[in-house]
Amino acid sequence: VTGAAPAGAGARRDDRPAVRRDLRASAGRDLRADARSGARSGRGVGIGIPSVPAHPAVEAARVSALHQLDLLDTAPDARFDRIVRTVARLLDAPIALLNLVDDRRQWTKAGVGMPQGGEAHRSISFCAHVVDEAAPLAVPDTRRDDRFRDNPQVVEDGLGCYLGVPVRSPGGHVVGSLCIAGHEPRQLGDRELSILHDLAAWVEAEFRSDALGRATREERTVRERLEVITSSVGDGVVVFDARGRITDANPAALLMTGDGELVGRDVTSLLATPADRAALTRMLRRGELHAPVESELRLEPRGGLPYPVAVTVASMHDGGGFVATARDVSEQHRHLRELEQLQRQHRRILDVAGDAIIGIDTRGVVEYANPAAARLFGVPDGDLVGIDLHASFHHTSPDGRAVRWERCRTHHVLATGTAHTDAEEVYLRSDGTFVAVEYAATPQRVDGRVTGAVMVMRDVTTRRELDRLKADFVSAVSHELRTPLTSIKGTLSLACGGVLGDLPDDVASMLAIAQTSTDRLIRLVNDLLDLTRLDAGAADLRPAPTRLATVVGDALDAVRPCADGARVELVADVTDVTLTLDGDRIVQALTNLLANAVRYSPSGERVHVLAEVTDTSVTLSVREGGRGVPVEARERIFERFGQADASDSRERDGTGLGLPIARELVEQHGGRLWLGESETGAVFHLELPRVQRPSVPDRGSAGGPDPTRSTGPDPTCSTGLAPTCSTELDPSRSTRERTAP
Amino acid sequence: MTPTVLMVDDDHGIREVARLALERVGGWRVRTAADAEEAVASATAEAPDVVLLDVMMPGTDGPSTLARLRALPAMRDVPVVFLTAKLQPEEVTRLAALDVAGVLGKPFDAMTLAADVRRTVGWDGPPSVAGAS
Repeated sequence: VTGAAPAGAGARRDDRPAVRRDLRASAGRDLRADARSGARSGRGVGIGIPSVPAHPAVEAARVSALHQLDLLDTAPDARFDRIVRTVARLLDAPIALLNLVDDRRQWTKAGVGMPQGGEAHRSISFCAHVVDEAAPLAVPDTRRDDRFRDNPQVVEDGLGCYLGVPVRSPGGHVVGSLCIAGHEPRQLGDRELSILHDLAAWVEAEFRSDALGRATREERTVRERLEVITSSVGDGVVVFDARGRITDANPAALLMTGDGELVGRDVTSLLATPADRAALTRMLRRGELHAPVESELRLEPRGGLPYPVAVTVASMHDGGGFVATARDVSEQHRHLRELEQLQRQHRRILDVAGDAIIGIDTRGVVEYANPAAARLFGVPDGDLVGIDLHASFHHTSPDGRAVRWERCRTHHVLATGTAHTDAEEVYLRSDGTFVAVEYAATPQRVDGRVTGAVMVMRDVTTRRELDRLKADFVSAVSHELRTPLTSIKGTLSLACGGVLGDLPDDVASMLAIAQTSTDRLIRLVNDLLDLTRLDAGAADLRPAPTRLATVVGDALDAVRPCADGARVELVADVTDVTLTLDGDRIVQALTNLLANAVRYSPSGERVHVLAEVTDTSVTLSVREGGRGVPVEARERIFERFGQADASDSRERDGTGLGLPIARELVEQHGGRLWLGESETGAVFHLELPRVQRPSVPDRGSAGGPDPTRSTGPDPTCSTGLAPTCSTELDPSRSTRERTAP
Repeated sequence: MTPTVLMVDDDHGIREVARLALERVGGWRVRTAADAEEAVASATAEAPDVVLLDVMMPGTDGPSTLARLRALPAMRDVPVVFLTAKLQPEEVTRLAALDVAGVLGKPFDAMTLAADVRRTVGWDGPPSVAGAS
């Protein structure tokens, strides 16, 4: 406290306009720099010597504490008005103020002699000195004090004396000053100071009271919010003290434990087994040191079966206990069990699968492989995982050339994400031998991105061998059956042809019957061999661009002799388009249809061939002039030996295999063959896709029907002995037979 | 001129039927052989104008017999026609690619056999495209 000086007096009732002017004038400038330069130059700047705030960080904390009081720029408060009135009365001062000082001004919270809400720039503030020094300031005679002599409040407003004491926030920061002032110089002693101190303590008590009220309100808000949260979450929440006694529990906890009330119970009593209780104890021990601890325990609800819960325990900040949350994870456990079971099933399926199944990543490295895969490559089960399949078993082709990974089909599958199947692919085995496999690779995707591929491979060595045996068998049978038939047919042909001399009528007629039957037998053998080859699985289709007109023309040529013999007219109206198909096979199918139509058309009738062409398909229709097919026989006629009328076979001399063979051939082309509706005679429809997509390419098959079987002119139509054309035309006549007319 | 045909087949019945068909219907001279040895012997003694050659024969088969016949200087340009009961497309293609005039199938038509052979070897006009496909 500076020394006392004679008190001066002088009212200053109208100081605010001047202060405001000053505030405006210094806007945008560094007030402290002004203040310091003023301090250096002493007089002359018109504000006296301002106080200097403490270190910026300290000052910032102080201002922050001031703002937390939430008093600046607020309405008058009777509590503080009472205090300043008391000050003015007790000290008989014309001016008594409670000023708050922030970073740029002083603001009057309560005042006597000057209005509440008034403010003055910090640079001319007497109270700023109190704040910055954190000590009382006594100025008995302002006009005799260098620091204030030029202060506008002195010069313009006539302030003669000042006494202020610090006022502190609850946190100890000086946020303002409680002060008195007068217009005349005045003696300021311990009495004045002591009274101001006491009343400043009163102000501070009010500050604390406010802070306490705020804290209480905040705590209540937080507690309420917390209660809403804990009561609405699905997780069970219990709070318990250090001894394990539950002090609080949310509704979910009550539900999970099946209890009406948990408070007061021992938290370990909720658990299923001693092991769970021991685990919780361990968690608490760790939970005291670190926050929060998680573990899975088993809860035993009242009257229910134990179930697993994921428990998180955290110690309370005040050290008074713990809060535990528990989540029912039995559903996850069930899912996990199902998943494991599913995985076991998949594993079992993979294990027993006869085909090799191999999963590879995007680099072609094996991620999993079943036992069949290990057998295929001749390595111990499990040894495939982790190896580069291509580099290990596909690096060389059977002809000794190196196979580059970039050219490998598997690489293509991985690079393009398109599946690939191949009837024949050759891999190496661990012993260096080659193995022929049927191969399918399917890309695996996650979110559209290729992450690998699954390859399925089947060792086709055995099947190739079987195919070969079957082909050999067909070949042998075809030779063994045809050789004696050749002699029989030739002998009968020569006898009936009169080459062996004139025959008695009855002998000639009997031999004619034998000859007809022999031809039938030959056709039957041919058809049966055809079917055997078709059944051997997928004829060896050789699709090529083929003109529809050629196909129809060839088929018509094949049946024309027979049609002529039966005096049935063949009429074709066909748009010429080019199709991709195996011409020989479709000629054979169409020939079978035409021969069938001729056979069932009465003499003098017509057989029509029409074509309907669309963008995607071509449908050939063969309309016969016969009596049609009975409803009940519409599908049967496509079955083997399924003629509409059993007697037809003998009367008409069909083998009962022509239509089944035709249907088989068409279906192998991805087409359809069916009997349509017609009022006059039967109409057969043969539909073919414009572009061939053979469903089962199989290079190793025994091949298709034998298109070159009839290498000479029709065997029976040309005998001239048959009274009518009793033959089913050779269904296999084709363009290819031109090799040997 | 009456053509001479050498009929080679291990099956007696077929040899006889073919002989009758070619002699009586075709008016040809027919000599027969049951295997490669007999065929080579017959052709060595007198080269025929055309050979009908079975494919599946025990011991030496048709193609091998063909090779032995072609080894004879007199037989180098004589047309040979295979007569086969094995008619799978691969088989016919394989046979037609050999040094033959064509391939005929069994059972053949005895009444037209001579004419079929004539057409196959091209005696009736321009040579057929036998073996070209």
